[in-house]
Amino acid sequence: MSVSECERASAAIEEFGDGELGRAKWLLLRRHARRCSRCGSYLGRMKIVVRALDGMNHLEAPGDLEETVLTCLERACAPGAVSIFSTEGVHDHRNLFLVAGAAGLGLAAVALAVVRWALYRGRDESLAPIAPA
Amino acid sequence: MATTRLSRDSREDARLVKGCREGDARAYELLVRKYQDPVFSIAYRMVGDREDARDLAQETFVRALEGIDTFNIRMPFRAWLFRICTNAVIDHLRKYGKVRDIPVEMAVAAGAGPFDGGECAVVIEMPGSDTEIPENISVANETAVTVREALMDLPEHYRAVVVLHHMEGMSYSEISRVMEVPRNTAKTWGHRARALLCDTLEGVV
Ligand SMILES: [Zn+2]
Repeated sequence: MSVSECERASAAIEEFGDGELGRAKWLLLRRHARRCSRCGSYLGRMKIVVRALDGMNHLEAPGDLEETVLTCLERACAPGAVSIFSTEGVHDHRNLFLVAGAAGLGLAAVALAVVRWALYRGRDESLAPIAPA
Repeated sequence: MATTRLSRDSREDARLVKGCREGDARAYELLVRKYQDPVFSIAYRMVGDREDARDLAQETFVRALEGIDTFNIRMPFRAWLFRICTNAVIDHLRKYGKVRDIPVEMAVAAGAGPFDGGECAVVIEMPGSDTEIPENISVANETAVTVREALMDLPEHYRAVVVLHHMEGMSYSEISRVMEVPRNTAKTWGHRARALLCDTLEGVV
């Protein structure tokens, strides 16, 4: 079996999967698939896959979905209301915590620096060499 | 983004969207009623959980109807709504760690097509002409379950294309609009998805 024949068959199988394979190409593919076990096997599996996927029907949405959505919208559209999917409030709080945290850390760093300065200053003075008389 | 000539259905949607913008509660109601089954179904086929699908459908409608002013009325509402739905689903899958990227080896395996397959011979018939004898139907049901389970293991973009193409009957051009990718990318994802699903049937049929 020539590779190019199998490549053409493979492309035709993809078109079949898309539901776009014309009758002429289908007949050529079928003839090849009967002689080529690999392409025959692939086409067989593709048929099963397509049938399973095409058989996926719409499911019925839960009975209260419509009502819940409309209630959410009414609440979100009320004057002064914040949308239930809005994250503005969350971000505002988050920013406030970040600023407070940064300020606290800054103050702690300054206090530490002052304490270290005071300690080392005292030590430096006590270790200073005694000036010759 | 290119605009398209709207179908009668899309023109009806556009009329309802206009109603929503003018604060007509009845228009909201009709849009939700019209699209609740497809939106819920897309979410369910992608997450595989009824409660999650319900929440995602609800989120889709609220997001869509809150943002109705941003919708381009010359575009099909359906594609816009499904985009919001697939984005919500993908966000959900990312948030809960169920997302799957597209690994290179899967793409290579998918591109390999039939040449890595088994050697079993099958009876080939014209599409749609299968004989519906009971034992064939029961085997078909079993394999359909296998295929749909395997669908849940696909990377989420592949899964979305397959669901939109086969369940919603959307063309790759429409899917490209929903997923905001070039048409050829959507088509390639569809081909790879089906090739991977075919792989799962090796040794099963
Ligand atoms: Zn071949």
